[in-house]
Amino acid sequence: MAAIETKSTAAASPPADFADFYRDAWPGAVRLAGLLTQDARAAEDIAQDAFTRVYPKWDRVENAPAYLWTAIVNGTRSWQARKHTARTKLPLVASAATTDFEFEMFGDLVAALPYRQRAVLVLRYYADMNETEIADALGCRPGTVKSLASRALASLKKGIEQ
Amino acid sequence: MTTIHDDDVEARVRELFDRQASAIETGERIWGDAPHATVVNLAEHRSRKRWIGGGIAAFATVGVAAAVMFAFGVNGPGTVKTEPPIGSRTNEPAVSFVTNQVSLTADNFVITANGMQFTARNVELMVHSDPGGDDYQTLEVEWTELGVEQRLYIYFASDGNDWWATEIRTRNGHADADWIEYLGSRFRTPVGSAFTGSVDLRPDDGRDGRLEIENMRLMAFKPPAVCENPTSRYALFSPYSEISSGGYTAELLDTKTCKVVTGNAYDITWTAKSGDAEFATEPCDEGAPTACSYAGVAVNKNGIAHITAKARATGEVVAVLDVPMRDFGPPPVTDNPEVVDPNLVEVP
Repeated sequence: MAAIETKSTAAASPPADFADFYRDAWPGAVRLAGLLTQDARAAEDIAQDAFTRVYPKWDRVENAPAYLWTAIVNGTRSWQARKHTARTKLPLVASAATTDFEFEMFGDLVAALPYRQRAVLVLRYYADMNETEIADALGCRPGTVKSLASRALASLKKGIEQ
Repeated sequence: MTTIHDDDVEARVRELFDRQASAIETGERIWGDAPHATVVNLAEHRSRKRWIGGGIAAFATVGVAAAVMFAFGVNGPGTVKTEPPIGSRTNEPAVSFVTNQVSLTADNFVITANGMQFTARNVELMVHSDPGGDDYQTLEVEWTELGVEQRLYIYFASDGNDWWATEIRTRNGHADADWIEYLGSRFRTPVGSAFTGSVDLRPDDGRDGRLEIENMRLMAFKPPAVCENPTSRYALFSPYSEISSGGYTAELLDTKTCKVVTGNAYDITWTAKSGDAEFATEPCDEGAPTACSYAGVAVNKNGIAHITAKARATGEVVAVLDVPMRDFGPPPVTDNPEVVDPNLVEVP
């Protein structure tokens, strides 16, 4: 599973300035925001807002990628709280193995999950975060992360089987 | 009906996210390309760190320490030395750093670093805790003094019987701030009790630095204050003393046991008593049903969040809680308040 770009930069030397960080981390930030919201239109706004929050603290923040993730998770959580018009579905890269129709329906099931259940799935299965990192990002206990993941997968399984 | 294995569901989730992520077009962005800003009001201070709210040190007299439950005695490993009064600072006002989780009060407090002494007096403090969980929490104090950033971070652990500090950090007093670390377990004390004593620490790695705290009273893993002197059978508790946009929990506690009420008999609702915010709520989702509410909060305007617990059967209000609510504020004041970054433009 490909790790989010922002996570990989945490292990390498940090970019010389914020502009480099922004350029390098932008694609991963948009993708993370898109997956968390399952809304194509919201992703760029949330990602941009997250960078705007990181920028004033650039000289003081110790782990910019982790801080950025947290800002994105918070941003998507706030977005979730607001009323929205119909979701702009995320696109799908075509695959020979499965039909797009099946995966569009599966995407609808994921989008219908409660926010925290969906967030746990994204952070675990896309961003490759461990339980403690997910708990920290969501502001909950590690035990809650397990419970959320279990319930999310159970809901999806039920949706597929029906 | 098709039967699906659990592994299949996980595999589908991974594939879905991979395919969605690969299809999201991001293009190349250059910082400063597009309007992306917030109005920068350099006359105000940012109110919080990350998404963690915290209390603001508001006490100014030693008498407040009487409100902190404490017992005498130090057990277990610890390197605290009881020193005679430190220098001539005993006439200075007391220091108090208090959050919902941790209380630190003392007669005197000095961080020595880079040839300077930082006392955290007559400065604006940001005091908060990572509420963590049953075995981890922090006390984090941040301020600017003598023109540089200073911090006191204490990390705590607990095994359910005792609590103790695992690490203390301060800043090194330089403009390009770095940490001074005081490693090792200290202040081991039974849960529910406070540690008392004076502290005089130097960094383990021989770096220049010193941390002195005179007549400190320190308590971590505090039980919720609502259980200390309860005035009613039930009380709402939130680990954060201030909230901003993000996710927060509120629990209905039985004040006799100080445990979260179980079952589905109560509804918890969130509204904006003043200011403006939106709340998306769901159960806390920790196994068996409990009277616990999780809210995704979007704060539009500073004010007060009003949390209410009602009995589902009768509609009777059994507990209320008001929590200050703050919009994610502007950057802190710089030394040159007239400078505005040209990349930050006012949102139309």
